[in-house]
Amino acid sequence: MKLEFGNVVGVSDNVLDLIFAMLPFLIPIVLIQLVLMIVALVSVLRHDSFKMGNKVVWVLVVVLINIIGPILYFVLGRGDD
Amino acid sequence: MIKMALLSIEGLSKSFGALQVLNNLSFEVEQGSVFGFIGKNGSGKTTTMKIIVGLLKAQSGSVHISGVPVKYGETKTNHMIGYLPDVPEYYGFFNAIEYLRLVGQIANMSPAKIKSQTSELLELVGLQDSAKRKIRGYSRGMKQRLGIAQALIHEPTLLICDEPTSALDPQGRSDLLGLLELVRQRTTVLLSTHILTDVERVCDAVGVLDGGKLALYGKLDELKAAHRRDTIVIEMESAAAAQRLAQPLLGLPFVQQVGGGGNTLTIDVHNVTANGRDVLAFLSEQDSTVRAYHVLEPSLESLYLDVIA
Amino acid sequence: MNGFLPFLKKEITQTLRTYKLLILVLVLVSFAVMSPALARFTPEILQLSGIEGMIALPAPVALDSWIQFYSTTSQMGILALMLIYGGILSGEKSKGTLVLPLTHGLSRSAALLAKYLVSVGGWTVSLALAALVNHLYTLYLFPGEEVAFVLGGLASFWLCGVFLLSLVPLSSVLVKGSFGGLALPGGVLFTLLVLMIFPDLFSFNPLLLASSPLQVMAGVDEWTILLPALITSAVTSAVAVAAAMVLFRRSSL
Repeated sequence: MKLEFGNVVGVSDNVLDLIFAMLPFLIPIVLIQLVLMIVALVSVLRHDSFKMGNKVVWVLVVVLINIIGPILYFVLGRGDD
Repeated sequence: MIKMALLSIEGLSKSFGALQVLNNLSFEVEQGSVFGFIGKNGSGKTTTMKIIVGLLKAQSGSVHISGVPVKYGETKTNHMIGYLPDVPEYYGFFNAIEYLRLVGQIANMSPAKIKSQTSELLELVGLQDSAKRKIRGYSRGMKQRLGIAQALIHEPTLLICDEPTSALDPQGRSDLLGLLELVRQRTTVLLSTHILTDVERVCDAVGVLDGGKLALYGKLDELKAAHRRDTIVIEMESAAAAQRLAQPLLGLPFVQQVGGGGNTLTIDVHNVTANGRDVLAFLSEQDSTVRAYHVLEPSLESLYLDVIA
Repeated sequence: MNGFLPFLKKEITQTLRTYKLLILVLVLVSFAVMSPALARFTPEILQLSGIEGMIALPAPVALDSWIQFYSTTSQMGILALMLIYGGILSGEKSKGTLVLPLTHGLSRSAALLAKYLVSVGGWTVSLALAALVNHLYTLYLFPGEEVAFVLGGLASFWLCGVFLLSLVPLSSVLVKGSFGGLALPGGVLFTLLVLMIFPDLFSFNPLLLASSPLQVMAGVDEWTILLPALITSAVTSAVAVAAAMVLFRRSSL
């Protein structure tokens, strides 16, 4: 094993090593997606009227489509601002 | 004392395309009065109000507030007017205090003045308990009451309300009319509506808009007096007593016509003030008990239907 | 310009409380996290998936991380920016929320300018944060490697976004409806994208500001190749906002 966490000079040919080396990127991405999803989800659940669509549709869109789902909700769905 | 005209409108005309909405409209609103601006939907009430506020441009004619001309796109008269549109729209992410602060700052008020006016007005309109809730959660009635508060924040001399009660339930309507009765102690009010009972409750002067002009215009009591017919309404203790008296009453020289139904008699006479006493004297001679006696007042509704029809 | 400052404060509050700024920042920052990783690890990923032999990839360098950043941000990032701030004036026009502030003496130009500045501010903050994240990750993955013209490139790219945002108020005044603000920027963006097929013929194309900086960073070109596009963008932006103000004053709400 050539690799330790954080040492990315010369990643090995091992899948686990590669994932390990990418953790500093994967973790923030997952966190950002989670924050976006939660902010949008809370907003969907707290509202009853939407510019278009309904609650169920927006819950699905927000939860299932990464990053773009929450943007679509805030642009097209959110009723009042 | 001669009251001065706070708002005077002269020869106002406005058309949208081929549709002439206002046609040489003129009227005045006296200081301290509550002026009821009556008309069917689409008769031009909102258009007139928007011109007064400076949101629309008239093709011809002039609007003066305390002698200052209103010009479209200028803000010189804004500080004298408070405006409540029929459906006021707010920023839902603000609460009432934040919203009033925004409009107060736009109106160039000092922070201290905004603060004192905000707490006073929120109490007046009964929103002090919801003052820190986001406006997006407000009911229609609450939005109308906040509308009154924002319209009064800068202590205007004229409050303009466009159909303030039409979107409200009976309770909300009654509350809002009560509020307008309080507001009239502070400022002159111009109120548009198509609900005549509202006008009778709060207004002392009216203008009925029809075909782009005022079809009826004046003080409510004077209008009623001018349109009073010489009719007396008498309520007897029973239908039989009423029927028994109808024929003898018609025999009296000054009685023109007798009508009615049940235990009431409506008697048309030559002159209510002179003949009313004679009718009462005749009734007491006949040994009948009179439950109620009054001179028939024309209702605003009958006046309205007279001029519109 | 009566009411400019209070209305600007309202716009800032709005962009924060309706999560518009938060979303834009998170979207751009997520691209900034992905880009260096994609640039650095693509060879390994290809190698491990067994298609290594088919394409010979040169060893990645720090510039690749910026190439990746410009590529995602100029497409998805600009799309998110326009979706988020495209309705900033149209929304208020169609909802009627401007009526009450206007009756209190708010100048229409002040309202329009405040909205425009807040959209530009949102773009500035999110692009700056994303670029910072991209820069730090690039340093981490490619230690010791220096890239030229990073700030100059970002400034050019920023102006490209500002150019598109400056079409929003004009579009909102001219086109009715809650998405009226997107009509003109959408049309202009499409036209300019078509013109991008001939980058040499149309050196003034503002969209060049989202790709040509990479050539300067790579040392292929001098920064002066950006000059025509920089000038068009700046001049058009100023003219578009001024025209929107004049037209907005005359339009009925």
